[in-house]
Amino acid sequence: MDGVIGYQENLGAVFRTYDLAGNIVSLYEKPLETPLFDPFDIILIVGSFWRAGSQGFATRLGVSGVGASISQSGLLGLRTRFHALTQQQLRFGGKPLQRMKDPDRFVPVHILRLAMLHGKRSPDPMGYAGLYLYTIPMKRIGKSYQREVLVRESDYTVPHFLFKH
Amino acid sequence: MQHVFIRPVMVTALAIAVSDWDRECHTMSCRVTYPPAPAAAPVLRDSIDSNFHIRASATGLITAGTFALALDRQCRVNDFDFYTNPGHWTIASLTPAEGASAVLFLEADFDENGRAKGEAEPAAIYDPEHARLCLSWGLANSWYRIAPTLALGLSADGRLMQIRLDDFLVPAKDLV
Repeated sequence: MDGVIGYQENLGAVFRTYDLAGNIVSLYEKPLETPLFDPFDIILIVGSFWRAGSQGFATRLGVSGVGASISQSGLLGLRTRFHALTQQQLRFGGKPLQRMKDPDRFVPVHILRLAMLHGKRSPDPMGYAGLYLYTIPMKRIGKSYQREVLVRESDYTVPHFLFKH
Repeated sequence: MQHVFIRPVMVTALAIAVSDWDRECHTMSCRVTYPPAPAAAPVLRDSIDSNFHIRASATGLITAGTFALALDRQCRVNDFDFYTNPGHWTIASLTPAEGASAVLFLEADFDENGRAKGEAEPAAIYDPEHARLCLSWGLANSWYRIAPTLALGLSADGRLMQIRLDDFLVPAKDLV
């Protein structure tokens, strides 16, 4: 999987790990003396978890990333949270499905779900009953955009999604 | 559109435009297929791309409200779609758009992600008698036909002002 599933903040010897929704998953403080087995031995799989300042690599999509270290329990917690995020089935109409198959228009499904979780919900601007528009600010390669996801909430079908200025 | 400029190049062979109204997604769309260019001499870049499965990225996407227009690598119209409500369209008689056959190359201010911003989404005018749809940002001074069923209207200074689609059928029940 090429995708971010969490974030890590490092202040001195304290490491805080957050899931995609910003909830803390694990808190770790490095001991003063080096333990026999360092719990930070595990280098995460490419694309699973990134943190600035560690070793660099490139994903299949050609995006430069940087690796991070995390404890086994922290990684498990992140994966559990990520799995929970993906449990709500999301269906796509014909046109959005075509976009999802297009690498230039594709958006990871969990990003759409996060927009629904944290975005501003408003009635469909086109006036269709039962449809709601979720909008949330986003950044891509340093540029700010507005992510839009339109959802028919009766069956969680997405008839339209887009990000734009 | 204020920031989308068009450079026409006259041709004899028109492209093919296939348009569609998706009732379920309330989206009209159109995809343009251009006649193949004369075979060019093979270049090393194409060979490397092919051997390493490197896919060419699209040039850009212009958005205006819920309207999105994608360009191909040569900055021609590749496809566009518009999430819309035909019940809000203006119903009026539309005259055929008469214009020279051309390939149109679009220029806009694309950012690092290949995105360019138009202004508000277009006004839609539909002629049910002739199954003709016009997406309009303002008055057009000149017309260019890029496919038998697709013409673009430009302002005097070369900005994209209208898109005219023929043979575009929308069921009458969707227009109310």
